[in-house]
Amino acid sequence: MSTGDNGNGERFTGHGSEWRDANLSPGEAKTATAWVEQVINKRSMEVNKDRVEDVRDAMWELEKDGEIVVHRVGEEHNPRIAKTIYGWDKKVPTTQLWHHKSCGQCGNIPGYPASLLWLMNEMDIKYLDETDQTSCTAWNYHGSGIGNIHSLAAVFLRNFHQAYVSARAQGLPGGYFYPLVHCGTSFGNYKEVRAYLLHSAELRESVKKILGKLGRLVDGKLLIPEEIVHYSEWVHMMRSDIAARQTIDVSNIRSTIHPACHVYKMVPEDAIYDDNILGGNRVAVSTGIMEALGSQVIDYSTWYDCCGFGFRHIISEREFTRSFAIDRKIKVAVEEAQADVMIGHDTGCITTLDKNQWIGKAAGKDYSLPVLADIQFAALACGAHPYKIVQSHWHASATETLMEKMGIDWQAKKLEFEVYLKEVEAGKFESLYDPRLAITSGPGFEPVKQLPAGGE
Amino acid sequence: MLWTENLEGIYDAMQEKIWACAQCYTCAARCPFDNSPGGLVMLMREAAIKHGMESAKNVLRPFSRVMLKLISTGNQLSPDMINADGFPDWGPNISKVDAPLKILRQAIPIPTLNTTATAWEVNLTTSVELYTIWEETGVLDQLETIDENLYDVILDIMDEKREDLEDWEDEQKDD
Repeated sequence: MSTGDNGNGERFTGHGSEWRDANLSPGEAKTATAWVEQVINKRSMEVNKDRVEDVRDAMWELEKDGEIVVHRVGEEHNPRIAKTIYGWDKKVPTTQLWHHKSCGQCGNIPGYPASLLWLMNEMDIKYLDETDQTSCTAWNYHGSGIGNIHSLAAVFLRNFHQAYVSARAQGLPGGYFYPLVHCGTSFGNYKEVRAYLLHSAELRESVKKILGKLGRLVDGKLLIPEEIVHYSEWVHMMRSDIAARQTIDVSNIRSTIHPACHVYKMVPEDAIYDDNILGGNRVAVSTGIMEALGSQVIDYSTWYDCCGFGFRHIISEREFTRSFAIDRKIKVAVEEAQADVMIGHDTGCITTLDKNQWIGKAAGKDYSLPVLADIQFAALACGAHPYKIVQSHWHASATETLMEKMGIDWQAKKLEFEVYLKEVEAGKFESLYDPRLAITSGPGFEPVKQLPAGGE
Repeated sequence: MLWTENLEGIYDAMQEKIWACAQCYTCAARCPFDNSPGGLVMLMREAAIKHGMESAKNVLRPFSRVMLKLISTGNQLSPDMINADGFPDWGPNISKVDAPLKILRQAIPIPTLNTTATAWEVNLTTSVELYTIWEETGVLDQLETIDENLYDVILDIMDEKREDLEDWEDEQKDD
């Protein structure tokens, strides 16, 4: 990877040549930004606006006019109803889920999806994890500008169409599985793209031609999902069921939450709020499960801040990313909240906050704060293996200190895992589901009937 | 926009400042008029690419490996990209268990993740569908404007994968 050198020996920061450090003292900096924190830290900032609309109204109209088909969250998906920021209902499917994976989670935090699938198995939730999907491509778009609304919309519609038809490989009807989006950026991007599609006849016409070419129309029409659902919303709605399976007491754990910008600032009208969680002032996901598990959720002043990921910055402007992550998030969580862990619900945030702590030691900023996704923490609390399932060895941050405080003998578990690796080397490895289900068409496909809980 | 009379200001911003945005959308959340400066930045970035501006070429140079991966496979990054050479500032704990990457990936209990060159196993037909989307939406044209060499490499990969799929389809007809 590069440091972002532009070839002339100058770092490309993007600030502009006239940019100068203000050199404010800590006190001056606090005075300069205090008003921002007072304003941005409240739900009222979002609800005191005009021009708010529920795009689902336009969606039902288009379906009525015969222009689109809506993939409904049906009774077979056992939906639970959440309240969004304006008090609107959101139907969250809780079973028959199509896992829409995240490239960052699968690439470098594999315990994130593994913990989710493990908990679904524990609760007999039906799901499909298959190879016929691409990423949303929005990380690249937000980082580089390569891509456009047409490509983003076509990728969205293609992936969601595949979710709709995927069950046919098992002899089940269309619409059986409902897509569950793992990545926060995918979640925000898909919601934004859905709104553009519902508002723009020109965009619909353009992508319909492409989807037609791919054989990805339903009755000659575009397929639009009734709800776009993030995995953290599933976790939130299932929090009591998850907590009922808890085997480890976590009441001594001081947790801080990092909410993901693309989950709740992007298309905010769809984010879930609950008057009983943080006074209804902040997005409810992640805090809800951490409270249900009995941990102490501690507030901190930079709760609202971004993690510093920046899309392009984590790759080519890393000084921005690591400084922001350490100074605005990790340091504050440790010094102000005396946190034992920072919990997130998005790929880029977990990567940024977890991986960028080590370099802080070079500047005397050794905070060693464990960073995990909400579902990984929940899996640990429910007795999941910290290495086989939670895959904590991929985390650069000090997850061992958290496990010790939870009473988990991580050294013994690590030894078990190292023994297991020998079995893997010999070709004997475990799976959360029947691997044959993962291919639904094309090379390698063999028909398999649906099995309970995704596998076994 | 406020810059309507200041074309030079817009041009200058597009050469550099638009690339400083972290795309966190806090601006949109704060805006009392419900505007989205972060969204506007994205449109300006697209315009910078369309016109082959120097700023876009500078910014995207370190991004080329990511773009190669994304456009050719549909995955933005892969396990074999996360290594100490690529990310020395992430420290020694790329994995806290010492074993070959391939074995560590096979020890993930999700079969689609037992990969090293992509984040998950992507069906060949899926990749080929994605190529159609890139072609039909002008993404490859964007890429050619910014990095002709990368564009050529990606076209070769696309041709190869399309041939692989055609071969497989021919085999099915023969069976």
